[in-house]
Amino acid sequence: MHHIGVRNIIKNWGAFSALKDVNLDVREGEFLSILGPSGCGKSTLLRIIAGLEEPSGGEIFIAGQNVTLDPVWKRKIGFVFQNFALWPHLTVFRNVSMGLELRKTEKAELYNRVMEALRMVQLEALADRLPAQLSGGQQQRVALARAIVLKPAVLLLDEPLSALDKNLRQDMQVELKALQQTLGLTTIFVTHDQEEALSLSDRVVVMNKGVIEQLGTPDAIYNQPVSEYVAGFVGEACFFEGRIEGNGQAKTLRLSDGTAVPIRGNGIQVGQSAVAFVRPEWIDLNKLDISLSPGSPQGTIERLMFFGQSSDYLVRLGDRQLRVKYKSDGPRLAPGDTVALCCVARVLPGNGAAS
Amino acid sequence: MKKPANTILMLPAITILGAFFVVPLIWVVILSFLTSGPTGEVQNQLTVSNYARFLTDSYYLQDLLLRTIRLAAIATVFSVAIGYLGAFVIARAEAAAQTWLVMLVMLPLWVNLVVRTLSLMVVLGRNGPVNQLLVGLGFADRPLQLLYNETAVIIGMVQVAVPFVVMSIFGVLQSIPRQLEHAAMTVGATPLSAFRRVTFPLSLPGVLAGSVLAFGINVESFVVPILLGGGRVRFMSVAAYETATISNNLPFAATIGVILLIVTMGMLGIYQWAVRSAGRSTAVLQAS
Ligand SMILES: Nc1ncnc2c1ncn2[C@@H]1O[C@H](COP(=O)(O)OP(=O)(O)OP(=O)(O)O)[C@@H](O)[C@H]1O
Ligand SMILES: [Mg+2]
Repeated sequence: MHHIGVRNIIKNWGAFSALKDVNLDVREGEFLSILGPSGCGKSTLLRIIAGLEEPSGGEIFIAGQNVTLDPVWKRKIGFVFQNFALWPHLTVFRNVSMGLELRKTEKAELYNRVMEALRMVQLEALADRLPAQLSGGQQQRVALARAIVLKPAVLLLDEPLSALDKNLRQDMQVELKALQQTLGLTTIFVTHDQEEALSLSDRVVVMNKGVIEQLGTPDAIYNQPVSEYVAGFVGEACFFEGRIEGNGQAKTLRLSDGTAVPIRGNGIQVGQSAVAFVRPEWIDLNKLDISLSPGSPQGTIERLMFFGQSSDYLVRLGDRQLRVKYKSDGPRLAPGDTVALCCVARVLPGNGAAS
Repeated sequence: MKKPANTILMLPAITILGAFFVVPLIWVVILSFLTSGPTGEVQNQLTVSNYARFLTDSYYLQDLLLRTIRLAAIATVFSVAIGYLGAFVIARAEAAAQTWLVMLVMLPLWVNLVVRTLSLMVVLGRNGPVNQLLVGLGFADRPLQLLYNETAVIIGMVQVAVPFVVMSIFGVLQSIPRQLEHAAMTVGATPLSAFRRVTFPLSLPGVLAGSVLAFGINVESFVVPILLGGGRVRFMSVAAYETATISNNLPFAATIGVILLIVTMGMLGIYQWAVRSAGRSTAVLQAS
């Protein structure tokens, strides 16, 4: 059963429409990420679900109830703001306890629940500090404790980790996910970091200009994107455009320069024009036996980038550059080498046009 | 490194401040310890008799000093209440409207204080709009005496102080992110309790600054008590003026001035102390 329902949500700011008919179902206990570039409407959608913003049209359901007309303070949500929005004049304890105070929770229970929430985020030792006396990561935890102490039906997070540096961020990702699973919270997590979205989520929503481009598991989003936009936004992609040819099982895409790339994908029809893409790690570079892969696109190695466990080759292919990723014990190639590209490209549905 | 250059740059300002402010102030303090002869000439003989006269006479102590402080304090309470409301409305208005509202608040400051107070006399006068409204609506049988009493003076002082209070509170309200209130609403606070628990405590530094400003302005009022008090409401600055001109006793006028100054400074000192001890929130707001 769906736990959060977004139905035909529209949001206009004057003549500009920030959300254009958005529909979304979030399942109970699910961790769902909303991924998209800056300004695509992620925060607006999240704030509408929370009730912090009024939609221009459409409805919001939480736990089966139509909450569209309910104000924020009546929706049972926990919200974590991008910059934490802690109350600077209150201690960590009081920041977390305010929600319980407002509900006139009895004193002993209030104390126990606040300390329990602080323990979950490992902050019970700092209960008497003021927010200004905390590090960024600690402030983030307070914001999280404040959101979960009320045992909300849903947890909404607006880029909660973007203010943290990389190492802390990775630690917090693990903690956040663990906490979400322990509490079984239905969670919507807004981010523009694709790795974060892919690694944490049960499902990912990719948004673009106020529209949901694709909703799917991280694997589906990465390996079977439905559009050039999604393929290019989530991970790196190199696109090929051409006409589908085939003899039997093996189908190829004949490019305009005469070379051909093997392809796979659903509903491939010979004779159609199509767009296919490859990921950097799907490509093999073949130097010695160019003759063995006749008709493959050929390029020149321009640069080698060593990252430790992996290395990237930047390959010049006609008028563009593409990236090929190898484990560091891959082939030994040098800048200037001519190579053949061996890969199976994935055809995008519907000629790659946005569906 | 820049220190010496700064000092040189500030020299003209220090000189002007010294010549026009500090030196006269020192002269007034000295003057307050002298006496005047039968024809008003100042006699060069140090004495504390002026202070003794002021502090032992219940007319000066009760009727003058305490009344001045009392009226100024009452006016300050009203100024801050009204000013807070105004500042809040402006802070929550749309950006385009904000500029205009701020201008509107500042507008009275461009009009001469005497002119402003005189127009207030028209408004509160026997045939003024306030009386016409009260009589017209049947709240009063005949025009009320709204002028030449303490209420009139308080109204006048409020009118002077409110713009300053609005501006000092508006500045602080403006610096409090709205998100802090939104965050309170996400944990179940109604807009009212979000204001009470978050925005209001965070705006207290502005309230304190505004009240210090308002009290300082009110306690030094001169035009307002003269015109709206009509000579019937005794007030420190007015008494100092009359002592200097009518009674021709400059040293005693100086004494009244110095006592007023000490009271004002004392009140500000107490306020500063109060702000600092309640000031954890102030410091935090500035730190974050
Ligand atoms: N109060 C507002 N008035 C006018 N336009 C707004 C307002 N709030 C947001 N917008 C516009 O709506 C669009 C979506 O904004 P939103 O904050 O949802 O973006 P976002 O996807 O969260 O971006 P980011 O990753 O930068 O946070 C933007 O183009 C923004 O300019
Ligand atoms: Mg955003």
